[in-house]
Amino acid sequence: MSKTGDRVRASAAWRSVFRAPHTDTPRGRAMATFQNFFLHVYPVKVPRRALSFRSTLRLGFASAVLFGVLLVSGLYLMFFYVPSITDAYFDMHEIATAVAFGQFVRNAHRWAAHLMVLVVFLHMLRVFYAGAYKSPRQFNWVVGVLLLLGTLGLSFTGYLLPWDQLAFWAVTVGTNIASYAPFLGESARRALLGAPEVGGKALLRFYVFHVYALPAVLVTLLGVHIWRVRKDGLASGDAQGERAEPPQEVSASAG
Amino acid sequence: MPAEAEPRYRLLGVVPREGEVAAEREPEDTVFTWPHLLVRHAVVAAGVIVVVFALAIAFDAPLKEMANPNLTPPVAKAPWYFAGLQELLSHFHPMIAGVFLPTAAVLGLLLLPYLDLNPATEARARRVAVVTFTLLVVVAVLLTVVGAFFRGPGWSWAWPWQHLYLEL
Ligand code: HEM
Repeated sequence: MSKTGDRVRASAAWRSVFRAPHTDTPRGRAMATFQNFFLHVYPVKVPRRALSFRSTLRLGFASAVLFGVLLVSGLYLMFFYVPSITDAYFDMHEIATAVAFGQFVRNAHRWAAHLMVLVVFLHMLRVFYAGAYKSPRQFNWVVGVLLLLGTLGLSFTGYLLPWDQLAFWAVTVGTNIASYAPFLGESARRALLGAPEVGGKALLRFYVFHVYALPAVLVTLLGVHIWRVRKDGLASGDAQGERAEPPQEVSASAG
Repeated sequence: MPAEAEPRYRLLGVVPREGEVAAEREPEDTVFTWPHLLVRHAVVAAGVIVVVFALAIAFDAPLKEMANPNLTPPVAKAPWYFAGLQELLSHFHPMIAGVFLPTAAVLGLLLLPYLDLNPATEARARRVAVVTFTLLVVVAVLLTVVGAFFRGPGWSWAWPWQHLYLEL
């Protein structure tokens, strides 16, 4: 590493941020993970098999990266979009024509969303064929299924927002299914749309779900999911995981 | 104290202490997360971002005419990931295709780890689970592909190489 790099890393300012001085020793490498808020979701050491691409195909990780891309690009779009039937469609035009990088950010948001549905599905297949939903990971599979439903919900609520013919009719078709819900019937669809038909109420409702409620749920579930991945012993291949309880005494008493 | 109250012990087996068991187990081969795993993750993250950016540069997201409740377009498709569901709805009563089957699919997925109690992870030792799951996935994928690529106006059959009625 260059001298300047060393000098920066030795400075008081750098060390105030990163807590541990970075040294290329086993201890320094451990500290780099351990003393960093963002990296401490990782264990300090991982089994060598976790390095192999084949163990997970990195599909779960890729899903998380896509979710990150969506959070950032979505934030930018929110500055220019108003969820009302008089503004929404024209805001989309503004984003495409008048906003700096607007079209690019919108494109990235849309393709990342489609990719995320695909990649999350492939991640689920990988987990199934690896048998990685078995003990002790049963509950993390359940969290995963909820993540899949959340991903679909986010994608579907976002689909309405451009308020063009594509959005309107896709959501009309999609929500028609809700009117067959047992017992609830038409009122299930009404609850979803806030009105008998897709209109301003539905647009606002979908917007609130899309930018607030569902992301909040997904971020929370993702926290649990990744925490469990670590606690359950990283990528499967060994069924151990970090122990939840101390090993039990084996006792044999009989009458 | 009556003799019956005394607990009596019988030797059922001898279990080595944890220390001895652990010593016999192969010590797990571990490496430092930084740099080994983090560098790999950084590469995958960069790759994913490059793919998204390339798509964003190459293809514009669609924006049709403004929503108009009075003008039904010739093809009204759900987003592609629900095209399988829409295909299913064109064959069965909505109560079955729209409510019963999706509910069963979600419940089946949620309960899978509690239904499949076979601890094996190699495919050969879990034929039933692998075959069942694979069949269901193939059916779901086929329905989605047909709905997304092979359906046109009024949900009629359309060859995608003649006219592709698919919007992303
Ligand atoms: C938003 C969607 C999701 C994200 C971001 C996500 C993320 C992750 C990550 C980062 C891992 C670590 C290992 C790897 O990269 O494969 C993982 C593992 C796992 N995921 Fe997901 N996941 C998602 C959805 C799902 C779904 C839909 C399922 C199953 C229905 C699932 C079940 C699991 C299980 C059981 C593991 C542990 C596998 C192992 O240890 O080998 N996840 N997930």
